[in-house]
Amino acid sequence: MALASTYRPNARPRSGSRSRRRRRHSAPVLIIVLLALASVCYHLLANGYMSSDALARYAKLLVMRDAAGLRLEFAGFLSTQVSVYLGLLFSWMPGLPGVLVPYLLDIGAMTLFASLAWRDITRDHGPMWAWLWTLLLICHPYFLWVATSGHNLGLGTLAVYGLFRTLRSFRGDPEPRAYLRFAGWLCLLFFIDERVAFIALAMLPWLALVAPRHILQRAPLAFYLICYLPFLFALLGWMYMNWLFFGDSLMFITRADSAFRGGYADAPYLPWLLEFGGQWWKPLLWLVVTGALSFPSLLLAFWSLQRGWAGTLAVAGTLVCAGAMATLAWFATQALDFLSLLLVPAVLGLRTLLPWQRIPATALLLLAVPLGWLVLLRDPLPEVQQWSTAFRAPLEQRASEDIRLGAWLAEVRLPTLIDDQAAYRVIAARRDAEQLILPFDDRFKLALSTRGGMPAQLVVARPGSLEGAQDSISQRFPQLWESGMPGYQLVFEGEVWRVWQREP
Amino acid sequence: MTGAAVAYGRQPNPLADRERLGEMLVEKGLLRPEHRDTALSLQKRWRSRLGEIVLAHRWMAALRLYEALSEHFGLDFVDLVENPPEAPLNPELFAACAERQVIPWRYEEGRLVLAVADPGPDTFTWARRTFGPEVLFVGTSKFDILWSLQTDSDFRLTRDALTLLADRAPEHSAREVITRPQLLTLYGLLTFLLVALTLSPVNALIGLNVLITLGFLATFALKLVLVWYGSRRRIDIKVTEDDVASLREEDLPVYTVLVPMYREPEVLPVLANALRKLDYPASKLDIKLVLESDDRETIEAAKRLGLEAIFEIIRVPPSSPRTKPKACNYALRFARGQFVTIYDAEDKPEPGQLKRVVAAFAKSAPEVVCIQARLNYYNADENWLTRMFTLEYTLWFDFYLPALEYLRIPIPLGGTSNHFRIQALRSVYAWDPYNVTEDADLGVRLVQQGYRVSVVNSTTFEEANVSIPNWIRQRSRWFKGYMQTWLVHMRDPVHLYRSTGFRGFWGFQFFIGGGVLTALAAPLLWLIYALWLAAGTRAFDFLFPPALVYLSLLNLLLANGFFIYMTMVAGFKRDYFKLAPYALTVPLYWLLQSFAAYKGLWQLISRPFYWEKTNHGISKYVSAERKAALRE
Repeated sequence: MALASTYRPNARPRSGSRSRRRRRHSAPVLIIVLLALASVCYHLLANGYMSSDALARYAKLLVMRDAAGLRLEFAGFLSTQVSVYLGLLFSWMPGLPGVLVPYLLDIGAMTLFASLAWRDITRDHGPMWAWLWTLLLICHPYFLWVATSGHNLGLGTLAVYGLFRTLRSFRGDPEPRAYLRFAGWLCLLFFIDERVAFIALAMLPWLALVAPRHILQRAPLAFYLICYLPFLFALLGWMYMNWLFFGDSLMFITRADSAFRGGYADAPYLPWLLEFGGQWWKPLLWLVVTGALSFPSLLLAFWSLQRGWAGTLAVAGTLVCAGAMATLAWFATQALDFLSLLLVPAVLGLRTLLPWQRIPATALLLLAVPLGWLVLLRDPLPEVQQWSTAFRAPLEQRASEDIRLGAWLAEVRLPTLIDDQAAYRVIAARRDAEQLILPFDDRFKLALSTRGGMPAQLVVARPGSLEGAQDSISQRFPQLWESGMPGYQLVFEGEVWRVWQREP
Repeated sequence: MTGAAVAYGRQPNPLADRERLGEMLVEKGLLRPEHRDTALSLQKRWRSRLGEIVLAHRWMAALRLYEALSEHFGLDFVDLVENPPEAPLNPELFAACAERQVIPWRYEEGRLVLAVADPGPDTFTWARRTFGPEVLFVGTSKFDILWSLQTDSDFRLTRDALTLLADRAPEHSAREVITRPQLLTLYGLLTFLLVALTLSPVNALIGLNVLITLGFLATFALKLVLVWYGSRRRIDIKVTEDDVASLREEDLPVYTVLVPMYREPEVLPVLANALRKLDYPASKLDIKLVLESDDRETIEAAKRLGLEAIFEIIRVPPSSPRTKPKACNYALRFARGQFVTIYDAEDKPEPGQLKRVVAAFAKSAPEVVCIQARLNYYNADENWLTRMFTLEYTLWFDFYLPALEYLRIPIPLGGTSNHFRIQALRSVYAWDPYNVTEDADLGVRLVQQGYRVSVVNSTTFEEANVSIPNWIRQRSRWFKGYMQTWLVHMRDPVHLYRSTGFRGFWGFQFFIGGGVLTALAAPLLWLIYALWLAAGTRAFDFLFPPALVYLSLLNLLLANGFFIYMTMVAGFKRDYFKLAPYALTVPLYWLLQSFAAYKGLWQLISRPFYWEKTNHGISKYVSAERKAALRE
């Protein structure tokens, strides 16, 4: 038949009808988790815990708000920017101290994560189990670390959950929306979390486990393109913007101080990298073992081979491999960076459990709490140590020179040349960035290139110190610390910082 | 009896029983008994006339049937080509006569004689009520009636086809390309721009840049929303298999299918074959091949094929503008169906499409008067152009249109496979013969008149353009038509806003207007960008203050990336996985679009009503298709 040769019955829009699911309201979960996490965070801060990462982001908010204005390039392209702009949005909320904004973002993100997890689990196991398991998840030290440490991990964890929960819709004959959601989350993750490169790379082989069979067999390239293209565009776009504004498209991965390099610059100070940096198998094995210890319920999920175990395995495998890759590339600052992401497969795994596995899973989740603490506190970074100590008792407070200088600069308000990369603590202590002349400012560039147009005040870090290594002023004028400049007098002197002021 | 010399008007035999027609045909040896039995069984199922079923299956020659039918009712048979009607036809009765296949023939001793092709008690009763109880009858064939009606009313029908909309609703006709207030507004805007350029050139250019950038952004945002909604599977389902199965064939209405053609004799067998495969009672199909009367080759080809009686040839007299909508308007006057649809010559609708549409109408609200089926291509993998065209069409018909319907944004109808309730179509004066995308215009016009347009999950497969020049011709016409459509419906923006609402109004602006704007403006922006990139010039920096740089970056990176990605995703709805990598080359396709848009703009100014004909039947598959069709 003539027509039969060209009719394409397989080319019909792939259609099917599906009834809407009853949507359960997760508002109570949202409120309760928010209040609980906020209380824990308040307790930690009241005990003197303060994250350097949160401080740096607070300083960036001040800079963006007071000194720079909303210029895309001023936020720099050495780190992801979603948290900066979300932070700016929150910092305009009346009555909210700006220093709390980074914590609030993490808490908000993890609250959303918990409520999404609750909703997802409810669909498969009902609200009672969902409440119980959500509660146990929240009590897990990794969850608490991500939510309350102020290390900008919350949004990333939420996005990773958003990404991987879409894998469920890959089953059978997925609709185009499934690809849109997956690729959209992956693309978004690029702007949220620097770990994305490792996750995206590690996911490549694991994705084959969950990909729709018929597409993978007929057109594997098409499948990977549809999943990865927006991410690739985001990467190319980022490179383009680096080139457009800074003339170097690879700046965000070549600069040692870029957040996209993770702990690379601080490797000599990081126990994890000292032990496993540049290796593949050992950190992989370590992550597998500690991952299984931290979330033993995952093993139970793999047991139920009939219900989406491949998805859970793919997610867990991706994250563990991403962690190993990040260690190989000297990115991961500690195992916890990627272990904490195992919260995601843990939740996804709970969804796949068979009814008889519910009670064992509860027991294992309960067990995961102390095991998680054990793993977390094995050879921890100082900040992790401080964070865990702050749960129990107030931290010993040391008078910081940064705070002293910040307070002094707040008093003596003159146009001041200062590098926020090194002096973020000082800016945070000053509580605003008005009249500060910062590296993205043309006046700063002019001052460093010609010494012309030096402002009334210069803040310089001691060469050889940690701050000095990051301070572009100190690096450009190494003698400035010692001898100042003609016509300038020393007005502030500390162990790390000195301030030179133009003589009247 | 066929001679006019012995044909006289008579009163029909009151004892003639149409129920016995099949038996009579068998007795006379005109019909085989097994055909009669099948026809009777189909008659029960379809509730159609036996004669129509017999003719639809080509079980006997049409002329013999009409002669026998006349004899059965005791009427003389007359050939109206040899003996054309002498009695005048009241124009107001034209539609009724066309529907009932009746025409006043002559007066005999002061009594009107009517020629009837479908004799029966209904027809006789209607005729007596309309023309008086003294009226007499002769028998004739359906084709003679059609021919005579055309001959009688050619001039009037042609005039109506051209001017009905322009005369009765001039505000919706594209006969006037741009109205005086629109022209004044345009002059005003240009003057303002010139003054601004003189007084503050930098700010004026920045302002212009802002407008273009925001236009791009809004178009992007709208399409993002459309794709998001369109990507849901739920949105595809309008009619289920159960809905179709629950239709009873006896309840199905007569369906008119218009097939406008021009110089396409080679695809005729393929088309006929495709239409024969429609899963619809053949006796309820009223298929009209709408041909230009000077298109001898296609007319002869149609005659040579010896098509079944369900196919009728409507010869459209030559007149300007020579457009498809004019031809359709003309043919619509002869339509007998409750529903009407249009197929192009190279179309292959899915066999169940008509039933699916009937079911969709049954499920829809009464104000839904038009249902658009999806279009796609059967020769997607022929070359790069067909691949891109297929991806584009899939995006358009499988994502955009269902989402437009969902969001209640006016749907610009596709060129074919749009199905109408015929009364509603006639009430809005059908297609605009001066608009070269009459379908897109009609979709918006229907919404403006308080009707709704919907889409159905059935596909018509067409032949994708395989040649770039041919594609440019077609696309330039589409762009010109979109410009016409935008101009027509923006004559009264307040009315448009009131009739379509906020979403409808802005959806129209950025779906129709935005499509044209982006195609026209994109080459300029790309040119500036390329110059800047190649020469490193800072000459354009003044055009891009920081905020605008970010918006432009958003357009450049996000929007372009998104459109490439959307083109790729589109293929996944139809399992066109192999086409996915080709989506990466879609920017080249955009360049072609821009070229076509400029050609369309130029034609809007120089030859607004000129119909750029797209050549069909040039796909490499066509000759094989044709051979196979002829074999069948």
